[in-house]
Amino acid sequence: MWERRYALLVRVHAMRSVVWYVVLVGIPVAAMLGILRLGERLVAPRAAHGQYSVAFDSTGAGHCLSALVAGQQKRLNIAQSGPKLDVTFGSVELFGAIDGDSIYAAAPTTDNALLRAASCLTVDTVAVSAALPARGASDTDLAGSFLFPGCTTCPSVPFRATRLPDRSRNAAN
Amino acid sequence: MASPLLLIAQIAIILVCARVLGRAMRLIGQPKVVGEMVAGLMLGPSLLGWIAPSVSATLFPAASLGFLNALSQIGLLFFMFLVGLELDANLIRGRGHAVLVASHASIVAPFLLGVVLALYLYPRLSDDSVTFTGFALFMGAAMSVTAFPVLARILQERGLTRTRLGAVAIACAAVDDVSAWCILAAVVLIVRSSDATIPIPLMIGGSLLFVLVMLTVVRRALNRLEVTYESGGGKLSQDRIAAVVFLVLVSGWITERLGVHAVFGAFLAGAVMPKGEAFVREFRDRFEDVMVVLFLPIFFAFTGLRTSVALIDGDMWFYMALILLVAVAGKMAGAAFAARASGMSWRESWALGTLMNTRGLMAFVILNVGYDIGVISPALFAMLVLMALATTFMTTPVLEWIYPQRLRLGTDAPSKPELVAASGGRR
Repeated sequence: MWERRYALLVRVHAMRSVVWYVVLVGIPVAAMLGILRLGERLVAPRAAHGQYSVAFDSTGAGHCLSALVAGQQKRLNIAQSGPKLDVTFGSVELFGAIDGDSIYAAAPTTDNALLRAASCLTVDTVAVSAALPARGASDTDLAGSFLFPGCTTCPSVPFRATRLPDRSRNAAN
Repeated sequence: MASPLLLIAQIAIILVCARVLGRAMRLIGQPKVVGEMVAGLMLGPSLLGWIAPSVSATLFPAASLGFLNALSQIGLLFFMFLVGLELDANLIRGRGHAVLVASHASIVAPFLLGVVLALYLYPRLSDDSVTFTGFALFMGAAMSVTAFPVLARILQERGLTRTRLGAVAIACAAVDDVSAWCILAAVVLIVRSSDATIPIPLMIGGSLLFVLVMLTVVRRALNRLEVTYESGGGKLSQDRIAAVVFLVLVSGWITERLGVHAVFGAFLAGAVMPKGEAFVREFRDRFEDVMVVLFLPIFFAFTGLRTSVALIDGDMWFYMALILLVAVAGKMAGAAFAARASGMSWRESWALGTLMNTRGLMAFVILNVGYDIGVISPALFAMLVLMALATTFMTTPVLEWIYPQRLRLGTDAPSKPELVAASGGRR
């Protein structure tokens, strides 16, 4: 009698657990699969992060080019969080964003002595403007210029940057 | 290139900071590990690099971090081995439906919320080099992890180990642990499959074969090791320790080579170790001190050196608040509702939810894996590190508030059949 009642209790309890399991685990898992499918339609900003090897076009670059590259490895580092970018070239750190295929980053203030000595920092600002290759293109190059806003006598410094192969986005950090 | 002198100085500073802050945290009732995590963050750009950039650049120049990284990775392998070693299937077996439902729900609820949150964060904090699926699954994994070792420490320090709540919490955390590593392994495979150096079928097939070999051949060989340990009077020779160290390293190497992270191999090596009490204790004693005193602080410091709170600015603080809210709500409420549905009282259920919300260093491990494989951006990494720290920090005070000392008395852990029966009726 007691044994039968105990067995029934255990069975009812097990059934209840199954129901709760379906409600608390099964349904959320199904919902999650739906959300994963839904999320595939989302578009994230273009990826620009990584370490680039930079080649400057010296023709017409003016006096700021030598001040910019003096004593530095010609490496451009881009750390990215969504559309926000942190661009580093030697001791020059610039903050900006990516909009479509275009990159623009500027340093609010720069205390680079060489750039200052070369009179490239009239308003203490250096900027970089660049464009990514079209989506789907196999090319990983970045083409752009270093700019010296506010300095009317400073021509922009054009460059081409080639992304160095690395599997991890954060390898440069 | 860093000199040996610099490396020694770095390690010495890390150790001192970790010990001092660990002690300071103990004074305010927090587990020591919280202090060690905070010490790591303080040595990075978030504090030292911010208030004294020249000191930071001298002590931790970027070129020297490779050595610290190597040490932290080796330490992480052996830490994961210890986590696997402590994992005992008997903790889970026979604990009844309460544990099964509560543990799975405490994974699924935060995982689901993490995936939902990914819908909002993906366009804002990620980029098109990461697929939405990889990003969302990683967010889910980061939200759903529970720090088994920290949880065990908190239960021990609060005198809850022998209570029903403690027993259920430990069992749930054990299930969470295994599930989280399986999920993360899948996420890593998905993320790395897009630029894998080896074919995807080989990655998956190789991983499955590796797990199978570990669970059968290696486990059997290790069982023999335990037998010889017992017949040898309970003494571990250096040769046997070397054999286990070799196993950990080789397992880590194989899983890394297969495209899954090295930590999974190390964890699995620990998980397949025999679970005889004396045998486990012997290994733990040999490894734990050097791990806790030396390698974990280095791992925390390396994590801290990667974490720049300055990257979180403007609207990113809103994202940070959302992440924290989702993490806490998903984990606490998920576990609490499931525990309540399984028959625990509301108070016990929320206490269980609070305990399961402890993410601690396991979240740090997961976040570092995510950072290494490039699935999360530096800013998101910083946000998730702060979230992990906050959820670990809040556990002790919230637990004390929900389930104060006076109520814990008289709730000794029932035996397994009692626990099953107890989960059938509400109190």
